[in-house]
Amino acid sequence: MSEHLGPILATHAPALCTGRLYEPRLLYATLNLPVGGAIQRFDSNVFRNGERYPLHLTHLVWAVRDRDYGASVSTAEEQLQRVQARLTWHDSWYMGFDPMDLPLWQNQQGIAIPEPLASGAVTWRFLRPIELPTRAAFEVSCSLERTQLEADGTIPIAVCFRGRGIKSRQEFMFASRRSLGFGNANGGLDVNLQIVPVADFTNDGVEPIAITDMTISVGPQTLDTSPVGNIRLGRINVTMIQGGTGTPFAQNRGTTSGAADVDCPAVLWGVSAGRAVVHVIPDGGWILEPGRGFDAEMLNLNASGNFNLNVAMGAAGYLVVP
Amino acid sequence: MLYEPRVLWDTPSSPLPTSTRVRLDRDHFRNGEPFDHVYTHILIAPVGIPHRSGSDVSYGANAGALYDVGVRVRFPERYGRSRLALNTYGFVGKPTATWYPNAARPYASSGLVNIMAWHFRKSTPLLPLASPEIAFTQWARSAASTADIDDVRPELSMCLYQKHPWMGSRMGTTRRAGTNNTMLFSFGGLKSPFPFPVGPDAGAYDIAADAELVGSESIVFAQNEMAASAGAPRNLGRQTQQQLSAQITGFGITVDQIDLDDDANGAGGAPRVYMPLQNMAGIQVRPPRSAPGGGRYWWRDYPVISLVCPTINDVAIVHELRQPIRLMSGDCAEVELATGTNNVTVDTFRTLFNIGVSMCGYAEIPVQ
Repeated sequence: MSEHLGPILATHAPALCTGRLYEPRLLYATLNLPVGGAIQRFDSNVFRNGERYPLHLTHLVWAVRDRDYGASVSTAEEQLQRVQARLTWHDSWYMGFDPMDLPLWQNQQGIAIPEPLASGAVTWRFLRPIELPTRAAFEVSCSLERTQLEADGTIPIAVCFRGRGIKSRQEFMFASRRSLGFGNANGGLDVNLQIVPVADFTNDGVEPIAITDMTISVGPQTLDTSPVGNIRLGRINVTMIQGGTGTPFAQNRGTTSGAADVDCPAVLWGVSAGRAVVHVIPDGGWILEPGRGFDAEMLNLNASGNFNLNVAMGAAGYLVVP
Repeated sequence: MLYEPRVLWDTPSSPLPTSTRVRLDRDHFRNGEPFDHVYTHILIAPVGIPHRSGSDVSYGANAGALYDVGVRVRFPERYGRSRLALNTYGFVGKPTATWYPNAARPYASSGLVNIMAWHFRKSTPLLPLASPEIAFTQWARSAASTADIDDVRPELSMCLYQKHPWMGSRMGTTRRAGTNNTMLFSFGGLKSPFPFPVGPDAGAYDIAADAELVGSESIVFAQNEMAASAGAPRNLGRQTQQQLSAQITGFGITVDQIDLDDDANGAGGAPRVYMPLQNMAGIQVRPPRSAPGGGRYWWRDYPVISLVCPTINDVAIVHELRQPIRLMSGDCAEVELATGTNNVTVDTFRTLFNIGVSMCGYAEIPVQ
């Protein structure tokens, strides 16, 4: 089926017209960073290719999680300025021996979304389009990071995929939305995983579709007067059914802090635009053969106070299926 | 051919009154070197002026300094890029901004992570024992100190992005200014080279120009700190890493001014909008005499950081030249500023402008 991708790839990314099937991958995990500057290391399995095909990583992403971790933990976004990171692999360091401030990793130009939506939406423009065959669909699961912060109300999470028909070149958009409860009175939907109707993301046409973009938005609470959404409240995962490898796009292979971590923080999907620090891996990215990976370390520069941090990190790219 | 970054820049030496047309110093936009310069970007920055509203004591339309000024640039052998002075927003074109501040901190005029960067179009070599020294001016306020924010010390971090031939990838080396001996922000009577807006007058801004020299105490990242050191195989040890050469592909500068924004906002009992300090601090790069390009400074004196960061920049207007401008030895560009009738009349604003204009590019240095 992947031969259908040829014409699309030829216009979308000429150098990538190789007749392979690509599927997005987002390896992610969260690290607890206590004040005091001690270096913390992710579980070694997190950023390792555990699948049978090569993994082409193109971006690294970081964000402060907005969960209810207690009074000693800060969830303020700007605290990213006080986190340093370093990668190690193959007996070398990246970007340097000294851990580097996360802002200095930010090298994606044009990262900001217009201010009215800036805090509530993210976009990933796929360098390598996903082929969505006929009768195949995306299964999108979503949940909230925390619950019962305010009174009743719901939080809408919307997901949109955009692409082009491989034969007709017609543009397609698949979008759907799910409202998640934000308080007890709504039945406690909150942090539990919800499935967006699969029918909304099904290719029921007559031709495969090359998916080129994905946008996620987390809107404001319905009962709130504030019009500002918060993408960091959402968690998302996507699996292609009846197509692709059938494996979730976002994967956390490290030590998790419970079932609540089964979905990836939505902010990490903002590879092309959003609210996360995005590092474009230079010179085309890294290829991780099966079983290969790297270690990541971070530290919190705050010396004291209620500034313990929980920082999520993701490594985004594409599984290359021959 | 060897390439090195170059920036021509100028800031009016005194504030501009309204309805005036001023030509910036031509010598400041002259290629005074014996080889060609190629310029790829024009930057326009509101030097020392907060640009974000959000409090009742802000300028009101405090972006007026940029909105109301016109810029005209002319190059040799061309009639001029425009017949008239274009308003600065006519130069907008490159999406260089990063995120807006968190909604919970509307007074924070700095970006969410306050990063600025220049990714060079042409990389420049970084040879062993010939790495540059990089200096920043102090950020000092001209007015008397305000006790609430006296002890706030923003921190600056910088990295050089490097490409190592053996890795085929871009690395970085970074240094972070500490909070003690190397702190780079000081109150207490020191004069700033640029007008500084936070005064002691319970909310109103004092941006009277202080055309003083750069403070004597600057922060310097020494040569050994900026050496090629990143990503080298671990078993070589750090000392050995510093003997390896690399290509510098750019630099990034971030300033942690979270505490400054927060404390200034509450100082004196009135909310205050501060400013990104990248619009206040000057930067200078000093290659050693042994550098392959002959050890020439990358630019004259100390332009504010935002004037030398055309790739990622929250506070300056970045205009990418579709056809880069080549200035041969001795050529100069002419830059005019035309001020309009600024109707912002908050007391101490004094309807004054201070605009910085720069051209960023690279020098083509023939290799013998």
